[in-house]
Amino acid sequence: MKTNLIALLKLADLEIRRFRGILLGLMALVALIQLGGLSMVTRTRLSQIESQIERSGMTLAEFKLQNSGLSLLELLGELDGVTGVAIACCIVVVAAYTLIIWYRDWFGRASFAYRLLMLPHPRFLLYLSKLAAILTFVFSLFAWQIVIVAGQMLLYHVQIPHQLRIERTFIDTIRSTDLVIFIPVRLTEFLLVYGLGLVIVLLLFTTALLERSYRLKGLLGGLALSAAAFVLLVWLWAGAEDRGSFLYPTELLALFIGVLLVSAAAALWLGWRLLRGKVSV
Amino acid sequence: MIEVSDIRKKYRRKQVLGGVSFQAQKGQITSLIGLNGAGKSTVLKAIMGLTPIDGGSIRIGGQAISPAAYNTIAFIPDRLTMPGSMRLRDGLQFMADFYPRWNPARAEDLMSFFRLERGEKIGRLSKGTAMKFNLVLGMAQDVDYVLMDEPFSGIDLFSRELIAEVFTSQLVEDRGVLITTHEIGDIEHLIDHAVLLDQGRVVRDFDCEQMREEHGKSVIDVMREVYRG
Amino acid sequence: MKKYGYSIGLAALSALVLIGYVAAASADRKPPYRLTTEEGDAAVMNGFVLDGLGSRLTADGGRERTGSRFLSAPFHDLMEPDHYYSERNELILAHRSFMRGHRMDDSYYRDDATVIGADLDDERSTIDVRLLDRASGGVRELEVPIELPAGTKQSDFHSYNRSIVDVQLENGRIHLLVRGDYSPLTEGQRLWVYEDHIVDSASGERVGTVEVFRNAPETELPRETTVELIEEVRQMDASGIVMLNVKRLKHDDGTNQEQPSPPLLQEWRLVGYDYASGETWELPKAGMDRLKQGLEPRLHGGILYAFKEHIEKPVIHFLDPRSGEAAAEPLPLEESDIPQRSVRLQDGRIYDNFLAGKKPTVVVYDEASRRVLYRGSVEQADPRAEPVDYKYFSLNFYGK
Repeated sequence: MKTNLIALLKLADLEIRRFRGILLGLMALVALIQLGGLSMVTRTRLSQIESQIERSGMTLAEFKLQNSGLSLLELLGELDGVTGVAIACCIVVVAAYTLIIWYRDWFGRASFAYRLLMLPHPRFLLYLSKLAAILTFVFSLFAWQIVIVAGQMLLYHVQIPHQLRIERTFIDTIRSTDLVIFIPVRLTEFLLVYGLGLVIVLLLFTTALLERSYRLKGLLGGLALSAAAFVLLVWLWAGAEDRGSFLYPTELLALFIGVLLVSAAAALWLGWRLLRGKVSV
Repeated sequence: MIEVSDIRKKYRRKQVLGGVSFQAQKGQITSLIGLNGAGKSTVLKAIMGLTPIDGGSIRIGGQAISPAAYNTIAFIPDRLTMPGSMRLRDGLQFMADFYPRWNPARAEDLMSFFRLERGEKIGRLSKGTAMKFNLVLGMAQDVDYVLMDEPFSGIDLFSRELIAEVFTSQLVEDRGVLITTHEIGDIEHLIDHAVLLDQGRVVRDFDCEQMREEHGKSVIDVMREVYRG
Repeated sequence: MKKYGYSIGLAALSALVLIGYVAAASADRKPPYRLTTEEGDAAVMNGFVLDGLGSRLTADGGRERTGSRFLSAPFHDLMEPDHYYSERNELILAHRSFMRGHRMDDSYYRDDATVIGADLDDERSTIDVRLLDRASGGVRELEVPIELPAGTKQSDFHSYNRSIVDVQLENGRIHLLVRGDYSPLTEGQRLWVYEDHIVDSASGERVGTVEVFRNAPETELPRETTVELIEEVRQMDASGIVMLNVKRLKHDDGTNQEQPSPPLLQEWRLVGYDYASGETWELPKAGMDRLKQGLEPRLHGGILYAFKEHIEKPVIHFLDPRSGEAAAEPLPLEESDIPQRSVRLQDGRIYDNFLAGKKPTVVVYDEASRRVLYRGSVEQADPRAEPVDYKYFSLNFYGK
């Protein structure tokens, strides 16, 4: 048991290190877009205000009285599209890597898959270590996003003179932007979004293994399974908005969670079975 | 011993293995011989659990393949199995990390024997050098069985001689070695047991010493009979 | 260990940031506002919430954050509380399985013994009625087919927008008040017809149909007649009468392109209907004159309430719905700092939600005695938060 745990950690470490370049690059890109973007937008607005003040001959304080200052939310609002692009990049890259993390072991000049499948440890450790790696990437990007928003607040304090500032707490700021969907502040929201994300990762993992076991038939089967689960989940979520529906929203939520759990269990079990005896190099 | 009983495998409508049975004993060098596409690589992969079989059974030391079995059986395939971005020393470290039966001293010896540079990137190795490194990874484990898939294919003459030397050393002494090849020339004098495959079936299975003494035939003679006859 | 530095570092740093985030988010869980009781008994506020500034407050000190960005928002059984859905929430809480799949039905009626739900299926031209026996929990279903009113045209394209606007139970008979928008056979624009379809409660057989009201269709284009059911206080409770607000308007004829003037009210009458007797009447001139002072009528339990809600100093008038005369002393409400305000009449109490001393305030009066039963206001729990000054919070029923 203990040797397996150690092996799992070592494999996870391997996977995490392999992705290092891309992860750090992604983090740098996102930081650049969000911080650089905010800086630019702030400078533009400040110079607008400055010329307004010059023309009218008011002081900053007088300006604030008339125009109620410049809030961070307002500036972030102008950055909405750009922030969306940054988040989308993260999602796309991680989503793609949930498949690449498997396929890179098979394709290429070397077939690392041989080596991994011949380790004197249960093969399910491969599944778990790759899952652990993906989760590490997701949560480090989550943490990085928090750091970036903190950085944005700091930038706001540095760039905007205090007469124009409108103070808000950190959590309050996040809650008031669409970012809160990806960095939730409440447990229920976290479980919904990241529970769904986890199940998608597990389904993609198992789809890759299905393909490696049954080729085209496996791929189609895996995609069909994933699509079915996804559609069911979306239908349940949408159903909650439909007030005429037969099931009450809390019941739909229970079903939603149930489907998540069943899909996760099915994906894990299937992945375990395939690795044990059906996967082929 | 490694016991293969009536294994069958179909791949994309082709019957790659149509009921193959043979045994490979410890202390012997068994060679699976056949033309290209005869199913030799598939047999090795099946034994190692790297590809599933449709029927039949495989037993190693009386047991079916399992993760624990990888401590007693090593596979040296015909391609690199470590990521190209790793350096040779990283590869060795990987083996040390995961295989309790890894023998670092022997690995050292083999690295010197093959004159391999630890700092070299795996992706940059030539085919011959890559094969040598594969041998290091496979032979430096204290295992009971070693399987090798086409260890000489595409290798230059001198490297081949070097590799063949390994077969004569004590490395192989009490292990069971199962190798596949279609170039029998280099090691004909070394192998104890030959299994000839043709289109997914065993067509000849014999002890080489016996064949030479009783019938005066070499392995190549038998091959000629089977594949040209 | 050194070679694991990157992975461990990445995981550890991320974990630290996330733990800090969880701590900060937990600390910020509750909104920085509180509904405090200034006098009286907070029990009269049971089930009510004040919604504003991203928070939902209850009189027992409950504080919750709200917001559409909370993705779990749709997963609540009770409907978004506003005036209409508040009553539905009461029904959902009390009769969960009866309301299943029928949360959006046209109209409901409730008394101590029964709950009746009615929904008009325009395509099938049928009213689906469901009766719940509160004591036994048994449910009965009835189907009542209806036809087009006399003098109206059948149309395949244009929907009649029929719906049931009121349900009453009177002497073992179910009254289903249907409103429809039809095309007259003769010349003219839309024809509003209100019909009372009467069904025997026990057998489900139709007893009769009473045409409550039909307007004279307008023939000139700029003219329009609107007929609305007077907003009923507590729609689902028993009420022996209903009243209709009939207005004739003249719209701008479009000659003055730059500044179209608002529609002119040419005629205004209130038409009353008694379910039990089937009689209709018009509110006499004296009553209409009072209303024309700018009051908005509301009806319940045999009293016509009239008051203008959205002003600083409303006065609630209690009128007799047949004579239009004052039935009780008018009740002046406290002056509000801003015209935004809502007044709710429920269970013999009057809930006044307005702004006093710059703060959102709720005062509850007992209707009969005019005594103040409760007074509460919203305060900031955290001085750094956005101040509540002059911020309007809406009062809604959301159940517990």
